[in-house]
Amino acid sequence: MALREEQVQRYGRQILLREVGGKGQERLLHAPVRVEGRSAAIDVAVSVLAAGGTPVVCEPPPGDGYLAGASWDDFNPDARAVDPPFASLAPADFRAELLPHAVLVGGQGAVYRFQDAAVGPCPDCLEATLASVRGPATRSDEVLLGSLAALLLQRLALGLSLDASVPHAFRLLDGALSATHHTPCRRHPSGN
Amino acid sequence: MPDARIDITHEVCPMTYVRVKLALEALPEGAVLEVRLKGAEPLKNVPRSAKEDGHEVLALEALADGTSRLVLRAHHREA
Repeated sequence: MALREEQVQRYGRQILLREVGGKGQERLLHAPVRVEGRSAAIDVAVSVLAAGGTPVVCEPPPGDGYLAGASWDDFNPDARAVDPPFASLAPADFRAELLPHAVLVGGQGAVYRFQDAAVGPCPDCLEATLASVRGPATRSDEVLLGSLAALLLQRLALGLSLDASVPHAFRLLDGALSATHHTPCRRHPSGN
Repeated sequence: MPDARIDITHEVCPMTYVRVKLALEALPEGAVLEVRLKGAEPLKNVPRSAKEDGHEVLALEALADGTSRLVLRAHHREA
């Protein structure tokens, strides 16, 4: 589907990026993300995603600040027509789903991704990982977390493989982002 | 004879190359795009950006009406 003129105008600078282009922008516009819950990390993530053209469906809808009401609708114009076939996954404190690439973003200090698309989304692996890295996150940690979550989701929507050196999970500790390994569930003991 | 033509004489940066980039993406590998452009900025930046994206500059010439004609061959990295 070709970009509409207002989309070319809105996302022109992003289209210039080599990794994006017109076809990449179309992918971003057709890879809706559902985000559940509210936190500073969520606000950052949905702001970055929506600004880049990813339709974002928030549950609950943004209720205050710059993400609320008409401002949010204007900022996130392509979410209005979205009827996303989201999978039903176990609740997490903060998660975003991008299907069929099966990316989940966990909350409270952890970002998690699945390495093997053949296995698909596994909420148990996510929960196990969250339980192992959970810790108090400062507001600045949440800004980092939200930005990173948005970046991971955008790269997967673009079909860009993440660098093999990118670890499965990240931990935010004392304001620094450090890598950790994800914790597989009992069904995937050798990894995801 | 180009496979497609685009006129960006009425555009300003960064939309000048955005239009060219989208036009090149829409063409098959090896197809030729003729670009009509005007002004110092696109004359400098559009050929450079096209080359950086892997496309080939076949010709660039000034025309009598003050515009320029740029001819590009599309090359797609994925192809």
